[in-house]
Amino acid sequence: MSTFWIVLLSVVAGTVLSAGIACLPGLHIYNVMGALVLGILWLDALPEPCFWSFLTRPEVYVPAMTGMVVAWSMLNTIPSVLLGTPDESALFTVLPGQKYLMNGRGYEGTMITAVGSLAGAFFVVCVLAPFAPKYLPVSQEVLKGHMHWVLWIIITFILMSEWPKGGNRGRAGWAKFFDAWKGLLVGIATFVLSGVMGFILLNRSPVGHEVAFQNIMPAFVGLFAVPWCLQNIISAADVPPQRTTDSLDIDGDIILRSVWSGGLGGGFAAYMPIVTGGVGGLLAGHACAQRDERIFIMGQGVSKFVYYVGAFMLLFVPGLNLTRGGGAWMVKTLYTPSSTADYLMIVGSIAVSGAVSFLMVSPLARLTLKLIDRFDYRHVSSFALAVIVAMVFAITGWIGLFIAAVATGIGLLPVLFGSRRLNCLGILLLPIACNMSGFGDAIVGWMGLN
Amino acid sequence: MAEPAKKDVLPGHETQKLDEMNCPSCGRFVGAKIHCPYCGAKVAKRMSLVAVRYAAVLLATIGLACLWAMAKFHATPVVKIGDISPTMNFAQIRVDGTADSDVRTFRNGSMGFNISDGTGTLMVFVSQKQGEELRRLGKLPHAGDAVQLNGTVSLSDKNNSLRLQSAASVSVTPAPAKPIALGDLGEDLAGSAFLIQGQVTGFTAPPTGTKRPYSLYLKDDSGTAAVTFWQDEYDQIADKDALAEGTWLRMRISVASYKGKMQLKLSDGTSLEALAAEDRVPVAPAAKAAPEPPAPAPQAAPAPEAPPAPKAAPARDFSRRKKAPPAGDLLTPVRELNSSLAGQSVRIRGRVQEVKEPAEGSKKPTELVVYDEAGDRLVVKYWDAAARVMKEKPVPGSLYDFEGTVDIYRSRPALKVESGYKIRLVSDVPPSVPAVDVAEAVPVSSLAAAGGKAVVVGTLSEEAALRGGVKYLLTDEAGDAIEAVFWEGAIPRDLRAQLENGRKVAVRGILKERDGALNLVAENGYSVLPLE
Repeated sequence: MSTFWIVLLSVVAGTVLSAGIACLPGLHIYNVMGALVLGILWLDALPEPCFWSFLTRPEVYVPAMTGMVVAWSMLNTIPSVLLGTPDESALFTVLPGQKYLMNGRGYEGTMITAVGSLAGAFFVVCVLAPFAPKYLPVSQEVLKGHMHWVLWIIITFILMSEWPKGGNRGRAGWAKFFDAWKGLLVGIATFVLSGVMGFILLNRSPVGHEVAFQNIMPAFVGLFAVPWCLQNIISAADVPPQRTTDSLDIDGDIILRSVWSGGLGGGFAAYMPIVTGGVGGLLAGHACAQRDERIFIMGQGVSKFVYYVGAFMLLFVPGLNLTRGGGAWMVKTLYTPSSTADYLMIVGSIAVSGAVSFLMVSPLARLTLKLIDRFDYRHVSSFALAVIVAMVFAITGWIGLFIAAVATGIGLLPVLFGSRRLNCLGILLLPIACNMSGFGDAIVGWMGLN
Repeated sequence: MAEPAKKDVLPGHETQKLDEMNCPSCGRFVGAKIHCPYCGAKVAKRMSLVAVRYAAVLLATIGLACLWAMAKFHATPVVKIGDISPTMNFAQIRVDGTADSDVRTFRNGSMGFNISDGTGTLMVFVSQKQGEELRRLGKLPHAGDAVQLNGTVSLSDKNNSLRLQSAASVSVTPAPAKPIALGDLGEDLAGSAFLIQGQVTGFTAPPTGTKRPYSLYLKDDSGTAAVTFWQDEYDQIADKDALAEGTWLRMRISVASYKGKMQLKLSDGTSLEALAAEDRVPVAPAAKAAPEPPAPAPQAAPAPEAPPAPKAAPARDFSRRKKAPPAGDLLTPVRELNSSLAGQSVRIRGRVQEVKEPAEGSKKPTELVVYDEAGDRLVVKYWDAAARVMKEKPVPGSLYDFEGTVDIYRSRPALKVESGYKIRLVSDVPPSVPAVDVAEAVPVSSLAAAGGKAVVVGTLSEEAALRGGVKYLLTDEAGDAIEAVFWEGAIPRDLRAQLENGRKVAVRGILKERDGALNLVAENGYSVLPLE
């Protein structure tokens, strides 16, 4: 079989596999890719090739992983809107998305976000991909000495842009003041606690060194996935009957404005170290100041796609040599891109997978709505929680579960006190910003971890 | 119990069960109380959100404290380099091994050295700040030193490395350095450290503005050697006057080997000391004849049987079979570049001999004249766009990897490099072995036939320009002369600039007949050694 057909089939296979995973709430594609990497390494280490050994060929697993990232970034919209368990980069779609859901327009909200993702795919393939090899190496050379202070400004913005909630009722004085500032204080506490956890895990992780490539995974599961599942299980409201539609309340102007804000946010997050799609969306949302709710939802679809897929694509940009995002790190463990042909293969894979994924959004969204009708929303969340916990245990053992439990405690703080969950990103932002600024070692020394 | 009428339900309490408000025993209204004020019965309530909040705070803080304690007392696992697997990416491990090389400072100020433990080799990266801390603590390892350190594994398909976790985790035990005669140094001693002493016969500083090393030429009764060192080591030398010609010096050096050529590196500037005549300790050169058979063991007292030496595990192959062939296999020899490879991407390794910059404002590329290991010449071109991302442009004498597309122009291959990142410095250390070995010099009178190679020491005179070169009359000490030809394309520009009438040089060249007379045509590269 020629390389063309191998790549094409691998992309489609990866896309279809990821489509099923993306519909499960709380399960992140990077966790699944981690398991896939383990499988490939195991196959590769076999003394004699077996039937599945073809999976260890780069022209098979690289396009397949590309398809997985693309499909997940587009199809994860379905649980984000319909099941209310987004990953961190989709936080902003939840409130407007849930409005759609509670008005019986969950399908429409899903499709608007998916159209945003499709627009993001066009943005990546037609705008980012042709210009990246020419301009990104130069910009990287210019910016790489400035990343540390950019990170500190982002941290400052995250912490300062949260506003006091509450404090409108009750007696004046400290009680009222505390009620107003409770959310902010908890936000800062969440950021600091996450940061401390980051310092511990990045410098002396108790996770076994044999599976160190997933040593931050239990913490992420605890910070983001488990609290959402728990929240759904405990407090999920009954979903009203949903209706489907053949048209969407959008036009070209909304799409263009969404691409502007989402592309900016997602692109920034993809390019900057440690900054995630949620942070990029926050910054772009403030920078572009688009007021329309539809732009907001669609822009998040663009942002999420550009963030996940753009970051993955950067690994393959000729002359750039930039690794961003968990997916790229995992691929780099197996394969180092070496030519323009690799880049073209990835860009083509993104285009194909983007198209296939978009075509799958509508049927999968309808299927999910049927499942919601048939199964209790809480049971679906319970199943997802069980899968996540089993995966953490399978890869990292009891230690991983303990880390996930502690992280869950931190991740529940913003959920229960009404502050931003973005503060949980302190787990990476704080230690990496300190390291880049040159005093990370000193803090590690104070903590007795050096 | 009957459900209350719709109008009795308070807003926000639609889902609250009635029995939470009424005593399950006496049926009276108890509101929020958890014990009935009338009969004392316990009233079951839904869990308060406040309780869940504080539980979360408790879990977060206590859990984090436990995690910190666990991490603090968690011993970093000692891992053999050969046991490192791809799933260990980002693992914090401790490596116990030997430094294969001295610490090298990169252009961005960070440092690196190779460490091996008998099962494999890893590059250790040290940040600039950690490097300064190591220097302050006197823990910068040198080749041959036993090193223990904690680091974070960074694996990729091609490059595996360890990022030093902290300077405090580094423990260095200097390798014992034994005295050795210069003549006994050889590339078979690579990785070892020695004390050498010798008389300075020459000292060259790098050109201003470059990061090339200093070279110190020494001789003793057994032979000659060239020791290289960088600005850092130079700054450490307390008595710089000691580098003057004729001074006897003692220093600690490490031996390295690159492409079959020995390199001697000054381990530490502080180890260099000038010797008075009475301080010189004669070092007898070892016999370099065929290895002697082992001496018979003494008959009287048989030595106790030594335990068998632990069998070193085979060096780990990180290439994982087919995916990552060793770097050397990816290199294409220059002589294999032909029209069949036109337009294809290849990687070559070669030493830059000359840099031809385009004229100001010209859109022509910069051209590098490069010679690979086999001595084949190639022109490498790169344009302004590629040059913009280079922190430091290629300099003559240094070894680089070039990745680009093959371009055939007038039947001759050239390499077009599109990105500045595709030009990677491999070594800026010139080979320690002098390019021209003066010991091989022969008198001009012994040169008879064309075709052979010879080294001639003599004085240049009667300079005459040639098209594309220059020729001199080279007169040896006996007064015999031969025409020496130096082509521009063959001799580096900085070396050509040193050629002048009256200059004593050693020339390695090929004997060719020209206009009926025998000429010595200097070979490609550093084939001329100015002696005075």
